[in-house]
Amino acid sequence: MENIMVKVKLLFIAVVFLLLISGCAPKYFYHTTHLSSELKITNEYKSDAQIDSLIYPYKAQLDSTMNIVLAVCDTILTKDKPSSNLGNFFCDAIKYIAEKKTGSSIDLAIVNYGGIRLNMISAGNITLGKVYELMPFDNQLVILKIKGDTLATVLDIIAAQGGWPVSGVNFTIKKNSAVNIFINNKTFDITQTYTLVVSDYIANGGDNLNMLKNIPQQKIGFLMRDALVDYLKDMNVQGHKIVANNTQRIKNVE
Amino acid sequence: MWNRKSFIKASAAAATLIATGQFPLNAMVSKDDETTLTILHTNDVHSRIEPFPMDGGKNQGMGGAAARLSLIKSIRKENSNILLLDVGDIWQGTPYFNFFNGAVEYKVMNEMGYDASTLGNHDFDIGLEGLKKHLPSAKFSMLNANYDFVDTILNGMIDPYKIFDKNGVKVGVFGIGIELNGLVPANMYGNVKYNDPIKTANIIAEKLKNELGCNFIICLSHLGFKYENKKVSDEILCTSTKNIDLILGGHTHTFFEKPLTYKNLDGKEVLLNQAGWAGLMLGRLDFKFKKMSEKKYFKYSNTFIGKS
Repeated sequence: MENIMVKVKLLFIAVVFLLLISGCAPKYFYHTTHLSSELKITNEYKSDAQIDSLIYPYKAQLDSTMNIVLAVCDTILTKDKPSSNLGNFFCDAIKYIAEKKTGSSIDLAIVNYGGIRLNMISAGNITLGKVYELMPFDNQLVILKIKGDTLATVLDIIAAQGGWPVSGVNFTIKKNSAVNIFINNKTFDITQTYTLVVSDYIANGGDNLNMLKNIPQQKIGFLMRDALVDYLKDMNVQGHKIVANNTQRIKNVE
Repeated sequence: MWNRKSFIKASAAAATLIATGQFPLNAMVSKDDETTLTILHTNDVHSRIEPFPMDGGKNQGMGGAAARLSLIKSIRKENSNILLLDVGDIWQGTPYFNFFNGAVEYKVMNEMGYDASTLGNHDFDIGLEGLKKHLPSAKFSMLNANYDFVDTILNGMIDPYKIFDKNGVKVGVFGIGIELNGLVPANMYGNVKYNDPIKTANIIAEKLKNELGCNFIICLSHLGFKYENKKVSDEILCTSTKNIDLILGGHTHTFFEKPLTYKNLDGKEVLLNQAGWAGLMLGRLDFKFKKMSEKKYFKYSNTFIGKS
């Protein structure tokens, strides 16, 4: 009898060792995934009081300054490629302010597609808060004297990316290159030097525009966001509403 | 896998079993211990503390931290075994960031009970000093494995991965970030060194799985869903790695209707999900885990059943 117990015990030891050595200890395996859902956060979800009270002091402070109306927008403006009325508005505004601040003419303005941070502006009041959302970055306006050949490279990169917001330039995208280029309605001249306004982010080689890095920068000490604010204020003072400019400044080849 | 330390442990365990005469046979073989883990995730919230304003826009009334928390609370009532994760670009996009410099976003995430996040490119928008200032206030872990912070003021503040014990299931979570050069002004990220995301992900996932014994591995990736060129993306990450079960993406602001399934380097399935941006969506994935012997259930399959 005792002999049998010893044998059983030995068998247990063997089993335990085999299980442990072969890595058969209990493990967790997931065997199903279910209920994968993308839940839209709609206003049917009741606001949570815990968050509401946390953000209240911040919200009150922002509301007192951010709800100021700068101008009125006549129609909805949307951002798109290769060209869009929101992109046109943005670039026209910074070109206008760069010219106003420097007192000299600017040939063209370029903004990286990702630099405009709202996809649309609704018709109606444009508040200061909305401009912060449109341009949240503290980027400065920078003026560059750019040689024609460098500009051609920049426009090719823009073409390869499907088109960026621009002002003062028109072209067609053909096989990822910029063709039929016009600067202020004049045929582009590769031997000429042009005046370009961009953000310091772009001037410093952002979005892979490394070729701009070595061009001397004329800083006018003005944030892009403040340029938008001043443009809107000017339009408002002059009694203009912001209207959609639907010119296809950049086109895809037919 | 088998080293001296675990051999001693195993020997000791076997000795104990014999000595006490109790052999928990059912625990070793038959009892199926089942648990459900709910993973909730956001990405690219971009300082959207409030819902979108009622201005006629397509997102009007949607999003907002308060509505998100109320949804999260209702899910927590259903299942308390939750991991709440974010995939970066917490910051930048509304005046909350411009005026309060990142404090409100972290406070709100603490309140919601986020477990972990990773760094997006915009989380460098107030430089390394900004992160150094705010990270200590975060009750969630900031994870990144492919940025080297050794020569920066953030050295020691960002872990590559974290292991969560969720009802006995060991869940390894790690972070992968996008190349900062050309995307973030150089003075903002200073001496942060960018390491290859694929190589890093493979090293970390291997370590989590085989060395640290994780049952489930999640990668928080701010690389972006996919690109027309060969730029490294979540899609490439899915197919060029092993040992990862789930990749939660960001950066490209892509709204997934449902998770996508890819075959990894081993031919095993890896899931990819992304929840748009601005806190407009909360991604949810529920995984059932069974405690079972490796031999019997060596192969596992992830079956996507569908939208609830």
